[in-house]
Amino acid sequence: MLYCLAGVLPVARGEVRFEGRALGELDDEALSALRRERFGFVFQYGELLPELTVEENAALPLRLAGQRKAEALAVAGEVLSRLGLSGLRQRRPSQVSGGQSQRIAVARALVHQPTVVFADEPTGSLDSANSTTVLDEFLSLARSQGTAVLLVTHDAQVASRADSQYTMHDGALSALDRESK
Amino acid sequence: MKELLLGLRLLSGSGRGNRVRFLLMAGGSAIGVCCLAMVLAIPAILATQDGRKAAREADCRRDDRRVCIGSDRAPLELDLTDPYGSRPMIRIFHAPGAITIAPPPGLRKLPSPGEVFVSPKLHEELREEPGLAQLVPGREQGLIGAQGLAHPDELYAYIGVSRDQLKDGHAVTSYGRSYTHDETVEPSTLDIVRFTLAGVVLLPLAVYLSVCARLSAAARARRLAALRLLGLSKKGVHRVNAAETVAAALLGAVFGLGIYAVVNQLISRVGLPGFRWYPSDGSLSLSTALICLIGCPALAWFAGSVGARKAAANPLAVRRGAVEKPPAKWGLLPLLPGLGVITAYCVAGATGHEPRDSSLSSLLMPLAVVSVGVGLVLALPILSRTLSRSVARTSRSLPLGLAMRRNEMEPGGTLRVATGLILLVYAASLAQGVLIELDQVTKNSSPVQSYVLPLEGISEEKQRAFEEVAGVRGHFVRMNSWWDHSSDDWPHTLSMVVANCDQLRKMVPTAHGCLNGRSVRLVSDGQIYDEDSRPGSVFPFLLHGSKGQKKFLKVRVPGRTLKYQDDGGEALVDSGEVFVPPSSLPAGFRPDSATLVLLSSSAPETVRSVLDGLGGVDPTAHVDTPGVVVTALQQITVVKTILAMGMVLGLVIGVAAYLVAATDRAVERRPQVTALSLLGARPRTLRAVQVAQVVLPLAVGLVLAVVAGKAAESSYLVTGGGEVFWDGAGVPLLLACALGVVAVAAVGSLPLIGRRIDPELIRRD
Repeated sequence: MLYCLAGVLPVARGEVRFEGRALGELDDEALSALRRERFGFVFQYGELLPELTVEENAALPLRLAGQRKAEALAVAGEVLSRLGLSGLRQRRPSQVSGGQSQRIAVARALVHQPTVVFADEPTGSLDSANSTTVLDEFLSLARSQGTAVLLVTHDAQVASRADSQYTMHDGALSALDRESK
Repeated sequence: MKELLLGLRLLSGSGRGNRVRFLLMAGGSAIGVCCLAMVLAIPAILATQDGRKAAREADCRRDDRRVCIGSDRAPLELDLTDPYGSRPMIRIFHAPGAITIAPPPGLRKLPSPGEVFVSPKLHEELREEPGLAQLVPGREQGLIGAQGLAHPDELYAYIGVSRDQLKDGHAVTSYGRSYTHDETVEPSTLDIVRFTLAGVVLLPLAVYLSVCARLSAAARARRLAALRLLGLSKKGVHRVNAAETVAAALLGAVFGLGIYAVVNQLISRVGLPGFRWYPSDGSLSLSTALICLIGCPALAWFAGSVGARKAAANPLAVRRGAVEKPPAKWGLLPLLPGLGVITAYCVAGATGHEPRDSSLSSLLMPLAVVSVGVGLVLALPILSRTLSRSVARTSRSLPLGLAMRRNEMEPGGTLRVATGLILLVYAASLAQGVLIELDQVTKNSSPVQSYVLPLEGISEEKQRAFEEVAGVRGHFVRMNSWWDHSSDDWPHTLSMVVANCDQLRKMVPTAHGCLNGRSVRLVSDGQIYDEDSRPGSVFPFLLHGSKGQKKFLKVRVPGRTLKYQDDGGEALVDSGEVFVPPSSLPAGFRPDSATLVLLSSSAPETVRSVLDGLGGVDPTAHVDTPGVVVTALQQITVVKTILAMGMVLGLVIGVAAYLVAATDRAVERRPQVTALSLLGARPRTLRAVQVAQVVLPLAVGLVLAVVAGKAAESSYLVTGGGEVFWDGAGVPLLLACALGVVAVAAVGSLPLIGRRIDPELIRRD
């Protein structure tokens, strides 16, 4: 469902609209541009490119959007600093811990200041302490940028941090809870 | 045993993807084994052909003094080999004797005078070219069977003649020897061909089979690491891994041998240019089958155990996808000394100090060539990593940066993808060198072709008929002075050209000042002068009359000279020879030791027509064709075909290795590519990454291969004893091939990026 909302998978029924445009009517190039410029993604296992350094991974969305290398790395460096990762900039993903890896993924998702970040179990592979830290940093950075976060989780504690919660049961969106924090 | 069964269980029950991979591994191995069987079969085919040649060779039982027993009563034979186009035509003239001997293989009986047995191919040629019948006089009695022929395209004839027609014949008491004097390919040339084939086919094949054995190496290593973490021993991990790789390779080997058996039946019937064989000649030998059935699984086990070793030793690192260790610098070790030796030979050739001692070179050269070949393979990851790292740091292009970071991280991937093609280009330049060396032996570079016939026993009428054969445009007689063969002193001899000025002008392009009826010494600045030909010296020439009477003609070397210049090709006249007019010879006498030299254009069809004409005058005449070594021509045709076949096999293997490795690499990268797509990377960016990732290391490797290959080729030519050291003509072809390889690799990598994004691909196993 998350990927349907992001325009990656087509919907069988209904319609997904973003900024007044139906995603189903957009071609591949327009959808790619949307994901590149307006959306961000955080995956369960980070999915950092193992061959790139930490700062190159974080700068990737800016580079994909056509920004120059030096400028993109500078912006990525700033975001990494805000997440307390400036000391890891030249390392490779295999040389950092799971929690650090996920924070780098958060930096990558937010570096180009997207409108929406889609997060698929972003803390699913982390222990509770790491999970809390990553989520705190993720949500506070997103809030400070004015970025909406659409997060899928099985963890009730993580879900409790959301402004709005939707529950899916056996493939059906069976309940809708609204809270205001 | 439990682990082996577990490996097979995992194989059969581990999902469709793994089963497809297993079948791909088996299919890849099958193609490789088929190519291996072909390469191994070539020497066996040649040996079988030579065996049949040996079995039909005439022999004579000899006494202790090596004298043929019963030669006066035995049948006589004369064998002549003439060029028919670029192929040799062998004619065996047989004259029956008082005793009867068993016919050679392939004949039910020996031909009586006037009877002819021909090979099926010669039978066809006789039908198409009736003029050829002059060389094969007689009534065709039947065809020679396959047991009596080296190959189906052989031009071979047994011609029955009477004993008085065969004065030069030798006695025959039986057929069959243990070895042949006329090998299809000389043993020394065969060694070079084997060596080149090993380079062109076997090296890429080893890489290819290793690639096939390591398909999805990362995923399999993760699975093995999981088993190790679950408590499987190190040995157990190796066994589980071996079960899959060895089973795939063994299945592939069996399929490959089956494919070879079918291919042999097809190709032997269709034939390759200049090289044909009977299907039974190429049938699988036990040794070939064993090499394929044991060698392929063994290689697969060895290649597969590298990944298994890592998973067994450090499973946690494998599960976490730890960074690969950079390739060790010792990989450069074989390349540097090899290049050093090759460069030294090139410098020696360029400065005119080519080595004279061939024994050292015959050891050093192959070692250097192999060392460079292995060095190219081992140095490629190091070079690729160094280059990728520096390009990734400096490049501002995103696709190039991503591609180079990938190559920097996994230099072994470059090795798997590009090595087959790089080795092929390297070996192709060596093959060019082998062909140049062989060409130097066989090619007649002169625009004219001469024919030399001994005049002994040839009447004046027959001599005139030889001179008037269509296509012959000049002729003269060369006489040699008489010398006492019983004397221990070193003989001083003189050679004399008997001709008029017109005839001389047809032999040499420039001969100013020739006057008919005047004897002169022929002198050329471009040739070494015969020191025996001193003005005033007298030499005797033996003549004989029509009734057998003998007479000496004393010739004084004249002081007058005639300067001539030849065309730099085959020298027809030697500096220092005495030119005398035909009128100098006494009437009614003919020279005792002389040759008739005829001249024609060197166009192949003219040469063939002249030879047919000479055969029409006297089918048993010995005709020497200087500059055309017909058996060598046949050899070079066979060698060219074998090398071409090797190149085609190498190309098949190289391209297959590239496709398999590139596809495998793309499949392993799908999670990362999917993540990039989800982040919004354009398909063209991903394609550019894919192309740059393959093309850049391939291009660097190919440049290195072309440079090293040409240097190796030149050093081979320098040590080969020929006159040509540098093969500039082969460079454009090689560069075109290299560019073609890069283009194919680039285009071939494009479809590896799919249009559809499947988020499931980024789920962990």
